[in-house]
Amino acid sequence: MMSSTRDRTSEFFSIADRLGGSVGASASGGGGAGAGSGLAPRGLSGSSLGSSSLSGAALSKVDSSLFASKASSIGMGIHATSTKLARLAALAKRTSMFDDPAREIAELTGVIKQDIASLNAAISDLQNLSRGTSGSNKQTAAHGTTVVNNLKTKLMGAMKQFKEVLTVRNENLKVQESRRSRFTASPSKLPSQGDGGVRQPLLGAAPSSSPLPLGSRAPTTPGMPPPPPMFQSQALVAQNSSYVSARSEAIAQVESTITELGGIFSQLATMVQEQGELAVRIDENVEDTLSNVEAGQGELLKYLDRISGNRWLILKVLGVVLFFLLIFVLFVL
Amino acid sequence: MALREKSGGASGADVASLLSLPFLSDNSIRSRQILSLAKLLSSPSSGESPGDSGEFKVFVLDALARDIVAPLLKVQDLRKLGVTLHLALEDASRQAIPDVPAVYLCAPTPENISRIVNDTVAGMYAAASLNFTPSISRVSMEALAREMINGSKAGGGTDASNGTASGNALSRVRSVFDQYMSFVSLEPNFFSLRIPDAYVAFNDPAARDVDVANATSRVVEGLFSALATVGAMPWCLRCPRGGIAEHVAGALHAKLKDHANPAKSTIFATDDAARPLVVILDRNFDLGTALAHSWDYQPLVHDVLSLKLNRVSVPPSSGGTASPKAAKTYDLDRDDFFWSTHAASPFPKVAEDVDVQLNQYKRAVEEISKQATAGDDPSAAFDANRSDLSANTKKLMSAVNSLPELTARKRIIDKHTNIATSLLGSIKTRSLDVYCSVEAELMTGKGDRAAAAQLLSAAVGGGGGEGSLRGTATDHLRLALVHLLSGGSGAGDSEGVESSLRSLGCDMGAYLYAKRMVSLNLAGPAPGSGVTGASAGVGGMTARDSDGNLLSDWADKAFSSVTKGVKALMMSERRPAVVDACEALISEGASSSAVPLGTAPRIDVSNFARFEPRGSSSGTAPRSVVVFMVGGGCYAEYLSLNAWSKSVGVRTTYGCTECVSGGELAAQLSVLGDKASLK
Repeated sequence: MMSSTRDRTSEFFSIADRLGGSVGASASGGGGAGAGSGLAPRGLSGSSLGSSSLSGAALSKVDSSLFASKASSIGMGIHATSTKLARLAALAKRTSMFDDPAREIAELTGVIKQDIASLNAAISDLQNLSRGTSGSNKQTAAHGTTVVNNLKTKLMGAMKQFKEVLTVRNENLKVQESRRSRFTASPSKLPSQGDGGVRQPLLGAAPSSSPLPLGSRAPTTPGMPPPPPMFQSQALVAQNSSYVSARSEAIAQVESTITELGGIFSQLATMVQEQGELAVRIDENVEDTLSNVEAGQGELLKYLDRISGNRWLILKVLGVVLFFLLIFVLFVL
Repeated sequence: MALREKSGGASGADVASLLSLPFLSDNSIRSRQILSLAKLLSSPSSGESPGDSGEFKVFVLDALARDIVAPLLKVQDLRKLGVTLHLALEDASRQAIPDVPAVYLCAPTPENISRIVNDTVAGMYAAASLNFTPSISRVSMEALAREMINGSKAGGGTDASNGTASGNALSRVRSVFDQYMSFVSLEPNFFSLRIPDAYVAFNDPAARDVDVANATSRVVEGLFSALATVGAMPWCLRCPRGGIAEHVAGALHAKLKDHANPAKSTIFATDDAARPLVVILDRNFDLGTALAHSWDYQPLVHDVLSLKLNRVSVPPSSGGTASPKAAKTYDLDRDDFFWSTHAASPFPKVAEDVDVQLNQYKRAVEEISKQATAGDDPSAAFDANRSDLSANTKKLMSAVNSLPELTARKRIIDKHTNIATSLLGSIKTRSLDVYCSVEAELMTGKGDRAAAAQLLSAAVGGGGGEGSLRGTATDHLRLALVHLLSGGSGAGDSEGVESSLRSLGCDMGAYLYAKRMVSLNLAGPAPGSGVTGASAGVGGMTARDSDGNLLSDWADKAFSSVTKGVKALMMSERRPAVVDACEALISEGASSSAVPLGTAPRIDVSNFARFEPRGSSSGTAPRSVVVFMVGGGCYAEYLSLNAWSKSVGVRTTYGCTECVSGGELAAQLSVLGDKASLK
């Protein structure tokens, strides 16, 4: 499909070799790949996706390209975070009440929250770095600003996604809770509680909240002696209250995360104001330049006009003077 | 091959989602070019998923490359692909950005090569990926390598002692690619080579052979690029015998033959199904269509507001605002939902639909504000229980979310309102509606030739009068040219038109040049000469009332197709010769298999020359056609071809040396007339 290109890197380096350029050991070997394979024959691309850990990429670069390595490691960090996010989203979409992956979700949420916070810090770090080194020239500075903005936009996107996932999760929790409260309101339908209910500290698998399948299962275990009613209801109350508190805790946690995110959001939003409005074409400023050049040319032409006008005037004056001189010479002498 | 197809498809989907351009999978020439661009920008080491790479780079372009990229990728898209800055290669004031790799895209001209060498020797950027729009010749490549080596030897003595490669220009070169990209995709199936004044270059009687050869090689280079991007070796090339088109086709054939062997060249896929029929035509094949005024939105915008690279600049309205503002520029491209649906619509329908869209927008805004107030209503919120409250919040959220989309919609509607207003002004002052209808009738061969001549002579009396033609001298000239070209060589009624033109103060060069061409029978098939049968019943309707402001009148006639079937018939009859030629060629190729065609071919293509770069073709009909117009194409032809291809189910791609409006073509004819010293 993408065959409309021809890789001539190897050809170029073989020509260079023949002409006596010392390219280095990797040149002739690396360029020998076929067309379209898209590998880099040069060993220069250290700043790209070669290594996956933040520190590894940072160490591989020398001081001069600190900015580049930092930027690329942040980019990779964002990428890694979004893959985690995708996993979280898949988990959060599960609405089943029986295998609620609460612990995983909590862990992932924590990790992502940490990631985002550290990435945010790294970006502001990077911004300072680019401000500090931008004294060299304008285009480097422009490059730096763009990189920072680009990373911010990406982080922003990741955070938006994160927030959406959390909102979904929150909704799911609420729905589960409402269902649960609807069914457990009547104490007559007592579930036979195994050890599954207290397995997970936070949210539990919550089999108690759906009595219908369990209720139908209860008669099929006739051998089991029914526990004394007193004890049963007490256990239920205790378990219920702990369960409810765990639930509300989880919800509160998610909500607080969302609020926190909102804070970071607004902080970023002020920084990324115009990024969304970049529907600009690349020939935009060229036209400005062109009109400027034309205006300049017009001014020059005007000046030329005036100069030539002056010159003509001088000639005329000179002619008149000469004429009078001639008359003077002819008639006086 | 299968593997490459697969990975290419995956990356295509990635790019489509990355740039949020869902149409990228449509396999059109524009999508393919965008994908190629995205691929060249994605860093070679990251391979699979462009944009996910953390690498940032600067993009250095020459003028043509800028024209190529501008309609395809916005700055925002480039950002998503990791490009932080786009710089002009010609710009001498570029500054060093030492820790960033650069991606170059330019033509391999000697100047560009020396600029690249200077950059790499000076170490402006960390690395350089060189991409050439047409292929770089062996000689140029040697020059590039040699200059780099010399440059580093001269300048890099001190760096070499560091033991690093920083002084070596060659070590900065990361890759060298031929991109076969030297054409500009303006529309999904429309490309232009941006070779200005090609009509003059190819028809100039005083041209030297060298100039013609240069022009030909440029055209062939661009056309080859386009075919490479389409990605399939043509079945065969067809063109009229004995003209510029055959010349170009011959050169292209020779170039294609070099790449015909799949073992040696991987540019073209071996997939037989995608192989197109390439039709190369000369502008002289059908001058009339390009000269005539058109009534459809896109050609009209191109003609009146000089649409250029999908960008139009609308002059400020003269009467309206007190403060004179600068002209506004608008982009008319894929992001514009209105443009993409209405480019081919006739103008009155466009004006109507702008209004409809505006009303829709207003309704949507009302809806949202109603929702928002309902959510904010304090008593309701107070009384409601929690679930209602959250539902309200959700509504409010969705309203807020849909706001940006609505604003964008509003902006587009405003844009088209402005454009349409400006167009309407031009239509009124130049009475373009009269031109359109008269020319359309002339070209279908049903027009009242005397009436057209009368119109021109009436215009001599001076504008302003009821029923007289307004418009510029170019408009008069174009009508006269269409009149002339539609008459065939035997028409004897041109004297009156000629004298009216003279007294109207038109440039006679163009007219006389065209006249000579007609007399030499060079200007293609006389339109209407082959139209029989269908037009027999409508001969009587052509006496056209030419009273004042015809816009609404015309709209009524043209679009209530049931009551005014005659007009609708006239519109459908007005098909450019290009479409007829394609139809004839396709049906000829489909000798056995059935391509549903309505009528018998109107153009005799049996004497078209035939080139087959990869041996003879089998009998099946080609399922895609590439039409190329040497000497300038026009939007009217593109739109007709598009409509035709939809009705037949054959993918057509239309290309031209440049996209000319009728006025520009008339100007080129004038230049030719002057060169031939016809006055």
